[in-house]
Amino acid sequence: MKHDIATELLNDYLDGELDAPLVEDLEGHVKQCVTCRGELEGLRQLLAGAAALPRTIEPGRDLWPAIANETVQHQKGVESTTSRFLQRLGLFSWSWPTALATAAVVGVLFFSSFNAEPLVGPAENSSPAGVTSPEGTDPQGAALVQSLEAECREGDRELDAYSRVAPDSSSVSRMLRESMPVVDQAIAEARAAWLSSPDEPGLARFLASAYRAKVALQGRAIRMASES
Amino acid sequence: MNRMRWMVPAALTVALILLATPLMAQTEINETRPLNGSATLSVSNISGSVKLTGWNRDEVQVTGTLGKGAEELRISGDASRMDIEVVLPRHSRNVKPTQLVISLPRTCRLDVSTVSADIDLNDFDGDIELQSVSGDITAVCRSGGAEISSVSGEVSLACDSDNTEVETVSGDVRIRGVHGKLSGNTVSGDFLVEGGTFTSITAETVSGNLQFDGALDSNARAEVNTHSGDVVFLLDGLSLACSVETFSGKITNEFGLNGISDEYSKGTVRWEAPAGSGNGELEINTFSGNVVLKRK
Repeated sequence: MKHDIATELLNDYLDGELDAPLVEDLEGHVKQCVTCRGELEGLRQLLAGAAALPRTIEPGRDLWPAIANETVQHQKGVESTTSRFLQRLGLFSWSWPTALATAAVVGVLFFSSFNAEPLVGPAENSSPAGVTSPEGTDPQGAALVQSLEAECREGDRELDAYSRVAPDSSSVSRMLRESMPVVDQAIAEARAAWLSSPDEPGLARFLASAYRAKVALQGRAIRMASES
Repeated sequence: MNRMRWMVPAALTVALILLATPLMAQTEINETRPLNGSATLSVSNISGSVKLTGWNRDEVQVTGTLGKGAEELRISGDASRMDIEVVLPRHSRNVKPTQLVISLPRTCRLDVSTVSADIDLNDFDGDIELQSVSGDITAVCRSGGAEISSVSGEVSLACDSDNTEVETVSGDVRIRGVHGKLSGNTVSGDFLVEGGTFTSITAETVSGNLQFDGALDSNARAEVNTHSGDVVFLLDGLSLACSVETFSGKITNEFGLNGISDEYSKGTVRWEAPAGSGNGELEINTFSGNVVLKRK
């Protein structure tokens, strides 16, 4: 077997996807080829290392308050980044060590981000947005919060659509750039408090109030965008 | 010889264009139209200013200057419903500000809309609806009803209105003389109310502070919500049932009602109105803002 073909087949060999005759040819080549032996050993070590990586990593600090309000966008971003990433995998010929290392890092980040989000509960309990209420929460308050979250997501979608149609609506974008972080910060703070003290009366109301402010701001931006 | 014959008109044309350019840079406006005292007048301008003053004539007069690049000042409608609009070319980029000075029947209904143009209204009695994106709005009037809306522009309202709605995003709001029913909403803009006796107040901010220095009718319903904005009520006395709630802020009350200490951190404080008072209720909710109930 020629060296360049053997190099191409090393990954499939480790995955056990080669037919017996090919395995025999490849092993024959590897016995004689120092480079292939080294590369095969490197791949084995990388796979073993990836398998030994922890399934979860506890973050040094609670990241959730800062990212709570970005959940939907964050998830969208992860999805689109992942799809782009997968497309690139198909387009470019990555070496296996690079691909595996990248996959391992992405995997660890993915699992750790899930574990950093106390709101994301078991799938069967998830709301459509993947957000659940903390235990002990007043169901009415939780329902109100979820309904307002859904309204915010709808507002985000509408604004996103407008931004594609009229990307140069400067007054709208300035307003959102300057004021939406204030509202998002309020949501993040109220949400963090609600999660930490779900039995505290009124916290769902504060969170709902912050969401209402966001819905109002979105509504205003949408009105302005439609008029511009 | 033939060439010379064309050169003179060409030179004249060029000279005419060159002479006309500075004149076109700022076109003077001077228009007068009949307008009823009960009419509705709408004014829109993008940038510059809109100064409006009420008078006792049944006509509207528009003066000022049309900014360079503006297409026209379009006045349409009749004596019962009129629109005054600064029309800009489509996709215009470099249009200079237009200054409008308008005198209008004092009792008509007024609707002004701008983007960055300031709005300044004086000596007016009719209902008003003023909105701007980044322009400041100032109104001194005796309007029955006022609806004011701004994004980042500041709002200053000295008005005898008994039904007032004010909404901004980051613009500060200062209100004087208003009474009756008040509704206010800001995100980060501060909200200051001075004077007036109110029967109904609904005010919400996110981070904006709210200060109320007026009076509450004994049957008033007042509800104030902020997230992190402080709330200060300066009152002569408190003759309403009160409910104050804060998650992480501090409550200070100088009225010492129901044995509640002057300062109380985090939680809900409620107290009943003194015997013989009306059925009014003041409710203040803030997530992390401080609440101060202060005696004048």
